[in-house]
Amino acid sequence: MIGPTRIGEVASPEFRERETLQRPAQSYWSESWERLRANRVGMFCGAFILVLALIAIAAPLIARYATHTGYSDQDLAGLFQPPGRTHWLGTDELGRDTLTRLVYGARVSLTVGFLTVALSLVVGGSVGLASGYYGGVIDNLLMRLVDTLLSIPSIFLFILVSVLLRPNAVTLSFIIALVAWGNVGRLIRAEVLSIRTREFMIATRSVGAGDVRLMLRHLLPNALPVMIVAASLAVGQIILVEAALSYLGLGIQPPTPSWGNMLSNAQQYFYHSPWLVAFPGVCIFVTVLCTNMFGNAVRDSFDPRLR
Amino acid sequence: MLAKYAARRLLASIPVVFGVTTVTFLLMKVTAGNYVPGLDLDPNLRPEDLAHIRHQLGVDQPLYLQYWQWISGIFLHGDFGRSMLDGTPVLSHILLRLPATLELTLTAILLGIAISIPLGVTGALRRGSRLDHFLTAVSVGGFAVPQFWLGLMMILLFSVSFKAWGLPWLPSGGRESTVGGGDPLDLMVHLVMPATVLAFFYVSIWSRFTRSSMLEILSQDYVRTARAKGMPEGRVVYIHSLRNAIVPLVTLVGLELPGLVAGGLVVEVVFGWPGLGLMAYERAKSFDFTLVMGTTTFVALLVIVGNLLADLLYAVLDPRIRYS
Repeated sequence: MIGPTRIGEVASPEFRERETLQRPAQSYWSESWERLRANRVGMFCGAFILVLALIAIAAPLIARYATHTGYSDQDLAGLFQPPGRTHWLGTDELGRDTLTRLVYGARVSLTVGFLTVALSLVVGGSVGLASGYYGGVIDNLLMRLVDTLLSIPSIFLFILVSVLLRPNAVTLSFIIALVAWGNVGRLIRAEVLSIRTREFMIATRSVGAGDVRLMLRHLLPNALPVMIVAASLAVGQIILVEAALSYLGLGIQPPTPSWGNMLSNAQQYFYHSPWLVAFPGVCIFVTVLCTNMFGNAVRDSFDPRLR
Repeated sequence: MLAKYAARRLLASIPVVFGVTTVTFLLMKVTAGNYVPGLDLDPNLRPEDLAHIRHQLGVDQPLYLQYWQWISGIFLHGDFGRSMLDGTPVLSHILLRLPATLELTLTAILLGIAISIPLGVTGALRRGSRLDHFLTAVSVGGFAVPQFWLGLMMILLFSVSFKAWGLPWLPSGGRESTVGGGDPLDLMVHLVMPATVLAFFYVSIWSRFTRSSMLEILSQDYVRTARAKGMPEGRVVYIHSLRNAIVPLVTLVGLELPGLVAGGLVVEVVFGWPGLGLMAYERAKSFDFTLVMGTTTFVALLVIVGNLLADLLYAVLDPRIRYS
């Protein structure tokens, strides 16, 4: 039959046959994954991050076999060399190889980015679950705590804490997570509030499931999509925060290279060696861009609210 | 109704004010303890002198007493403590630096609004066009570029290279020329780059937001009705749709009010802009804890007030909001 079936018209045999061809049952996860896989830009960005992570893990190997120099090895006879054959991306004011330092810097950025997000998911997730599930006084207390944390401008908090701590990548992650969990907590609480009243929760409770079981086995898996989305969008912002803190001299301390502290070093010399400023900046930009785009792709395919 | 809502919001912010002061104070004490910068380095001071100075500064008292003295000073006398480096009132430092910060961030926010609303509307009206894709790309890029790096690259181009090429160049930092500066043109020339860097960040968020909010409104029934009645397109878009589309933007801009004083810290450092952020940063590096603590609290209180105002403004602008 040609043309659309009008309402009330008897469906053709062909149409009836099509009706029996149902869409195969598919779990939320495999469906989301397929959607993500179909997103070319997103997958490309995800692959880029994966490659960058591999490079960061292999940093000592790259230093030994590819650039033949460590990240703090000085070559005082070859200061400020422009990008060239021996030093692919040039050298800095102590003759250190820029490429080697960038590769080590990737370690810092990725560690801080992912560790901070993991930490804030754990803390924010627990707080959000407890707050949304119990409600009442607990909810009020926890949410006022979140309000408090989010009212203090985070950069001032970071300054306060990191002045005396002289952080490395791990402690820096803890410092940033100290503030970053607040947003996650709020988001998950809102999600829990909407899940809590659904029928399956009432049913589970009525067969005698306890608080902990309800939260961990029933609420958490249902709040997971929102957590994944929040996490994938946060990584890029955290990397930017780390870079800014290290640039200000409050993050990773020299001689350990991070993209941020390489930039603050380089800005004194950028009149005659602009590439020292350009490369770390490009690294930050491309990495954050890719994590953001990947995050967007994850959101588009995993966020239940967008369906 | 609105008054009741306002009163309740005001009450709800009291525990937050208490929380902010407590958290700041505790953080300071945990990191700094009773350390007084430079004191232990002076060989002329005997142990009893040290104890005497510590006593005078009040750092040897029990924590709760120190806390009480500090917050009662703030809320009863408007006294945010004294600098540990030179003993001058923290508030005087804050008030000295505040105008520069407000000048920078207000310019950036106004610039951001002025640019992002037309961009957002254009993107929504010409959805899927090349221009729309281009605007999306710029905004995604703007969200990923580190502000301090953008600032450095702009200095490199507009101050260093332009000067070398003999073109009119922009000053690389500061608020006015040290010699013979201070006239309006001089101030404006100094403001251009820092304000642009800050505004770029705002534009990349707000233009996206305006676009999606505009798209949502344009698909509403009342817009279709207006069009069906033969209302001119310009009136439909700019009067009936835009007015509703920018309501959520008000909240977003309101959320940036803390950024009015704090958001520009990195930019202030890059451009040597003599604002609050640069002051807090420099003083933190020389361990002036009381000053950093006072500034942080001051800014946090402004944030709380800003959020309150944004909420109220939102309630006034959007009658659909329920006061609960």
